[in-house]
Amino acid sequence: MSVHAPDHDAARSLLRDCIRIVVTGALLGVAFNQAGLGSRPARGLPWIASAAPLESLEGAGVVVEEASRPSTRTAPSGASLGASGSPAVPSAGVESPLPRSEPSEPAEVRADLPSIPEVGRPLEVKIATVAKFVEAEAALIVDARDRGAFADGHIPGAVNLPYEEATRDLGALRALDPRGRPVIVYCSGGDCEASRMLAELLTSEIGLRRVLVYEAGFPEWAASGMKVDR
Amino acid sequence: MSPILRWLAERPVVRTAQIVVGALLAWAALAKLGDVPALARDVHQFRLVPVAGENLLAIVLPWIEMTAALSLLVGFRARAGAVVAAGLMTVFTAAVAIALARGLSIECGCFGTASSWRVGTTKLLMNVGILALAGVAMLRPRTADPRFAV
Repeated sequence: MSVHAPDHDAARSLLRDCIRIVVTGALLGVAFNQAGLGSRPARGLPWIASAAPLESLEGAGVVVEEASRPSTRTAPSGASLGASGSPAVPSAGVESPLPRSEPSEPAEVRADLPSIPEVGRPLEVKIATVAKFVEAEAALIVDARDRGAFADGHIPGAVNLPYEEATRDLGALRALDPRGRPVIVYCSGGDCEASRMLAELLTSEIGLRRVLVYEAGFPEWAASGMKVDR
Repeated sequence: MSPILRWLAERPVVRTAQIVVGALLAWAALAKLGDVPALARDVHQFRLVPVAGENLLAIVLPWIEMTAALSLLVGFRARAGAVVAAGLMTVFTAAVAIALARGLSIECGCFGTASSWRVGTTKLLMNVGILALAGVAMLRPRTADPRFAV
């Protein structure tokens, strides 16, 4: 055993030196960034990265005031929308604003759909606009949540492409066929980043030009009394 | 020990490898420090780190590279510097390999924005080469070769 003691000590010493190098480097980085943040103008990076807010569809010059109200053909009186563009939660027993089996009438319905610009970057979209596209089947709806969450309930007509799977195999991403329609991606709302990351993949890797992100996601959709498929 | 390994473990060979790896790391670190926000964007493109951690990684990574590079160049705790360099290169190589496997076509960001190397087989082979060199730099030098005695 004593024969191996020097080797053991050398290995421990090497490990200590490695840790010193990494810790020194990390501390230097933190100090340098802190100094940058304290300078005027500030040059450092924020410690915690946060995704910059997405530009909204309206911000991209799209007029969607009509889209803040569901189609009169299908909207029940109890599902009127507020001025914010978010639908009021319908009272219990009121039928979902989306038809369950009624065939769509694309020509009539699409007349009040906003025209999505080909900006080549993801834009944020609100629930009212999503509802109109879902109703008219005028967009490819992509659910970026995992398989289990999708099976528990999803926006009608949505296809499931978990973000993690998409990053592992871009072939699945390329297999998406929007058939000339815009794509709307959603996930679980809140801190969920999957929809946005998937939307970025769709624009950067697949080259789609009209990709929308429904950031409030499925929780808002379900809580608003919209139709949910299982 | 094979003759090749014995030759690789000669002090001048190890020292040369340490200097070359140190110079490469210093170059990479300086290039990254020139535009840390761009590095954060490159890290994001790899999609391997949670968004919240991307900035922190971009803040500390170039300085860890720089510290390891200085250790290698100066020759102070050079073996430890080589081990850190090898660790960094292993992570970088794995990241490039994963990006390749995913079919991502992204900027590598390995040498900051000054280079426009993209993730690809060439980049992967380059990383493997540097990793091999770092492996040599990690070797404990054997006896001094009288031919190189000063």
